Amino acid sequence: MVQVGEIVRSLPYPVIEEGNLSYPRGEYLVETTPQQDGVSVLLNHAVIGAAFLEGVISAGKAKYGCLVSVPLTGYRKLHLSDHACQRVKWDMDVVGEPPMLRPIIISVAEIYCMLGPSDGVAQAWQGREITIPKGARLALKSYLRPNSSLHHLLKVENNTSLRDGCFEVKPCEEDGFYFKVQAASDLFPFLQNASGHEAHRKSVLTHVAGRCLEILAREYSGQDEEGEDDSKWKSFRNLEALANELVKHELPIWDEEGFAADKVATRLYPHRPPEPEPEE
Amino acid sequence: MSYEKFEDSSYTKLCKDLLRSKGSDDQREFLSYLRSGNEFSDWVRRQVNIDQGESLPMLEEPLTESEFKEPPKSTEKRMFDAWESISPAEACRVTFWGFVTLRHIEESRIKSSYLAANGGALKGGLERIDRTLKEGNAREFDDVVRTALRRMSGLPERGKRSVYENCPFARAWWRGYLAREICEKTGAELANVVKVLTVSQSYWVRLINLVVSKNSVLGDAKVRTALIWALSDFINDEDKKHLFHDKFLKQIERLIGIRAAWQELGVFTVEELKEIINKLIFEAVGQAHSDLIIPQ
Repeated sequence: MVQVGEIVRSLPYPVIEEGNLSYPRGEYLVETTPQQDGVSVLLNHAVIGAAFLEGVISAGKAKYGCLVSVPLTGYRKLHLSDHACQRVKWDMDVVGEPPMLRPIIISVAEIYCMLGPSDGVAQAWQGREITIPKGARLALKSYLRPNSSLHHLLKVENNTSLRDGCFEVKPCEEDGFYFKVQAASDLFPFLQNASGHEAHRKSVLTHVAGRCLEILAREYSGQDEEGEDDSKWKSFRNLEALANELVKHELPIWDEEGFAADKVATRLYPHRPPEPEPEE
Repeated sequence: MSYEKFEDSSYTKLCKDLLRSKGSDDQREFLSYLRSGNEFSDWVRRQVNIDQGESLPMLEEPLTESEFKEPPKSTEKRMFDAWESISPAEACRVTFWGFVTLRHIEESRIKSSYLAANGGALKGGLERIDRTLKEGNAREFDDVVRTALRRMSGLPERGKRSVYENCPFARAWWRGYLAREICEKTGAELANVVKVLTVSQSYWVRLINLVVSKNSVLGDAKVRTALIWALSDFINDEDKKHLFHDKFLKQIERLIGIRAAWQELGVFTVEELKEIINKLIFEAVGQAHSDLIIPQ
């Protein structure tokens, strides 16, 4: 597959993206605020230190955008906006699961111009005549991936048949992968709202996290039997995100040597013993 | 309201248990129940919980084994017509299609043994199960169990591609859904679009992977619409038969990928994209001639 990042750096027009120095002081900042309805997000795009890009946006030749994609249902749609504040909405019946979002600025018409010192571009670009085709990505961020932490992969539900104080964790392979945590009737409300006993609740969740990691090590560490080269877990989007999260914390992944579920769980979510009471 | 379906964790567990070890007692038991027909449904229901929801629409007529495993276009159309109200969010789930299949076994629209049938003119399901139970080795047990699960719901592994590729009910729905989507947005002829989507199983696999792969080069749904529309213009042209080989689709995919690497194709209209893709098709034809994919 062609990787976007490898190509754009050699494009004949300046771009703001990671590793590209076309705009030495240029920044593309995007603030995302998920909305209460659960099916939309508010994006606030801002371009700083890139006068040329700011100019083409003001002239209506480039627009703010967001790529919304869910590979599972083949949903891929580019949402465009004239305004820096953009609300992006999706239909859950169509997309199937929380989508990946990629903020982007795109040219919507062909642009010819000569770049100069006031455009905020690197010296190498100055004095050069450029042609930007319609659809060129002029600034882009990485995909915003949901559900990267272990706690985001938990769905807690009440199980009245469990004895007080008990829970059971089960892996579920739909919705990009998640863990169903069935909790006894006394534990379920406590996990929802610990009201003043947050440290205790966190300890229970550390226990749950340990169990989840143990399941991953046992059930999702082999090769994919379906004849692919990848490990079993790589076909699940949320597990890929979780693995990246472990790597970021410099922790081993569940199919690597040296992985110990309890050790990783307590590194991610350490127990906080109560402060010793002062002696009288 | 969504439709009733298998509860996720118990269906995940059933599949995991069945696939854990080749030739296991679990696999033998599964095949015995698959053979028994009427007991199969009770056996599944004992192990898998059901998430409540609206009752599923059922096919009116029973299917033969060959109609089930490789439905003709007319049967696929009947399937999609019956299930038109299903949403893509449900149609991508193994838990959904697993339950659809089970309900059709319970209502005698299909027999449970059909799930084990080989493709093409190979052995039927019943014969395959009997032979495996009698003299099969561990590998053969595993093969038949995997075939049955793929047919029943698709396997959740492999990024769930198996749902779109191997489960005949799901495949019929996705073909119908894509065909409708394309015809609603373009001037394409439904019959021609359906022909493109049903050229061959391997062509379908390549096409659907373009649609659902996380690394798909089709950066926007409009691109796939334009691609299939463009291909549908050539489907009845005897001189253009070479366009409908997997290798050729791979060439076009490559060229679209190169274009999409520097250009966001989603800013174009479907009509503009069709023009772009038509040029890429001719470029691919030129390359295929020089690579001897198409004989001169």
